[in-house]
Amino acid sequence: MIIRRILILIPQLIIISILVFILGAMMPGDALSGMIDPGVSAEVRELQREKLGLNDPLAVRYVRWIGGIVRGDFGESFIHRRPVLEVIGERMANTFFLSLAILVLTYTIAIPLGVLSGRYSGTVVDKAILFYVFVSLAMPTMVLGILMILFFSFYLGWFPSSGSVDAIVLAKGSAGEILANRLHHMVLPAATGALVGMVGVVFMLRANIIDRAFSDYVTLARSKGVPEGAVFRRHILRNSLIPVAAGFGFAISGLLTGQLFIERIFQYPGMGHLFFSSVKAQDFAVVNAIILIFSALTALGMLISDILLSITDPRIRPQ
Amino acid sequence: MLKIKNLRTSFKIDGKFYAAADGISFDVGKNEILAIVGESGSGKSAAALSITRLHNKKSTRIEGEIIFNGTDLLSVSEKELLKIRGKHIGMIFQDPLTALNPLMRIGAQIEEPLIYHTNFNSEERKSRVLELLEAVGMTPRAYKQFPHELSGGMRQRAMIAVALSCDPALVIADEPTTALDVTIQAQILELLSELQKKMQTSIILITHDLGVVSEIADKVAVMYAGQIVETATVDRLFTNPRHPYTRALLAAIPSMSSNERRFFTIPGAVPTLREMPRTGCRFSRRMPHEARHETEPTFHEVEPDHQVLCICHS
Repeated sequence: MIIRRILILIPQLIIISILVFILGAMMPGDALSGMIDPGVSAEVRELQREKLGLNDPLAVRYVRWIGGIVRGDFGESFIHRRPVLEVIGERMANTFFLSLAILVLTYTIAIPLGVLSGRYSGTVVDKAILFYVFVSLAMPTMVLGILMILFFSFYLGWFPSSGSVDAIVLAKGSAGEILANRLHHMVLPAATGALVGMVGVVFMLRANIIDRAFSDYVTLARSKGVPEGAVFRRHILRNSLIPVAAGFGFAISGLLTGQLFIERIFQYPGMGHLFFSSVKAQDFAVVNAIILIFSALTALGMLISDILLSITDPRIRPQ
Repeated sequence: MLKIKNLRTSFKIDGKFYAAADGISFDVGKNEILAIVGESGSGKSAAALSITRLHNKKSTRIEGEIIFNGTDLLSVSEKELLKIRGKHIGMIFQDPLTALNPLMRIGAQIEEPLIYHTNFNSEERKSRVLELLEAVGMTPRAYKQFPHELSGGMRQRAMIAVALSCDPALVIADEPTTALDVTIQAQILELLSELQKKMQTSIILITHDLGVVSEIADKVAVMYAGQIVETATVDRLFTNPRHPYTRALLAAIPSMSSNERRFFTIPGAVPTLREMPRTGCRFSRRMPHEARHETEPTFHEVEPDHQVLCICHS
């Protein structure tokens, strides 16, 4: 079954790549509009376009582009004047570790909160959690991010507000110091990401638990004389965690696609940040590459979701 | 063995309690099968789930007396109740697909009551489960299977095995055949009555199918709008039905021999909990003809072991 799913990925990726390429080509302007001195005459500009192959038909350019990607060549960034893969590679590690921190924080906070509020629904504990969930739902990431910077960085001065590591530490510090410095930089963006991301998980888990608390099989378990604690663990919780496990697959693909807004707010040099600045600079080689990678990872995330589901739920386990 | 007096089960709707079972009384003797019949919404399931207090406590109020082997189940603590549920009273539900935990193997689900009610070690439990599987006509292979891998009939057999695992004195079967194919229904009924005889269990059978009743029950209680309107032994009820509702139910059974082109149906529907009349004869609104009713209907004995509510039957 898994092999079949992987095979389905291939046409999916081809379609995605075509869409990405067409969308990129449709955007106004090209890399030259930023690269060449505005004083340069139209003829020279046209010559340069011809030389770079920008005047070729769309199909030709697509085949050239996709052919390069198959060989691992994503082209060259016009802004950074370096191969796209190199530019992305540096950011990828940053994004990976930030997203990992967010992922771990999200689930370690969200699962206990969801369980508490679902199991003790209607109590003060549940109401407090719900209050937080609704406030957080209503607050966009950027607002929370700015508030975090304001309090913890500006007023209290506990954490740096931007970057991934201090240049001085990177140049002179020991490996341990560099790691500590990186972690220190990660606290605010990771906390912001987790506080926003956990809302959905808490809400889903709570709803699942309440929904199942009086389902038929739970009533049957109670009718057997099973104590409430065991009813909860064995019958309610396990069944409630299945959709959460499915969501986890997507979260894993988010490890690399990153957190666009959070990286932007905290000036964190990751994929999201690179994406924003490349769009602004019309560096299409980079933009196309990032969108393609994001899409591929999302498709991969769906695959991981399915695999996780098949592990937790015997009903969709391959026979 | 089980004596229910004036049971009133009310559910909270928008902050107010409405009685779904409204002051019903009946008793079940040892080794006896009592059928409770009525349309959907008559309160029969609400009453049955009240016996072991399986309703959501937050939204349900249960009043009256439920005396089981000398103890009032409505006044014992939760902890005491856990020792009765599954051990002395087993339950069988309507839809075996939703009533079995989709993530647990059949063996583990049958084993569960044994964990809490016996001192068996895991091997003894396993051999008891295999014994039960055989008793309900399943193969040992089912021990390792998940509910979705079984047919509807097999799932219902598994649920019967769960209910009987601790050799209970009473089994409450809430529409045990409703979700099954007709051919499977017959098999399940046969199995139930066979096991009932072998294990000397009493059964409360909730159903809306009078065919089922005539086949296996000893006594019948007919429920309408939260009340019992007629009780009798099966023979007497079928030969001499008195309450207009009972008669209408019997008339609604399709007959193979009749040439009528349409089935007989009772006009209207059971009133919803909020709209239910709380005084007078509750069925009067759906009766096509004029009849005298009591303002406060009481039970009248028509013959020994045969009672009927209100005087509208005469």
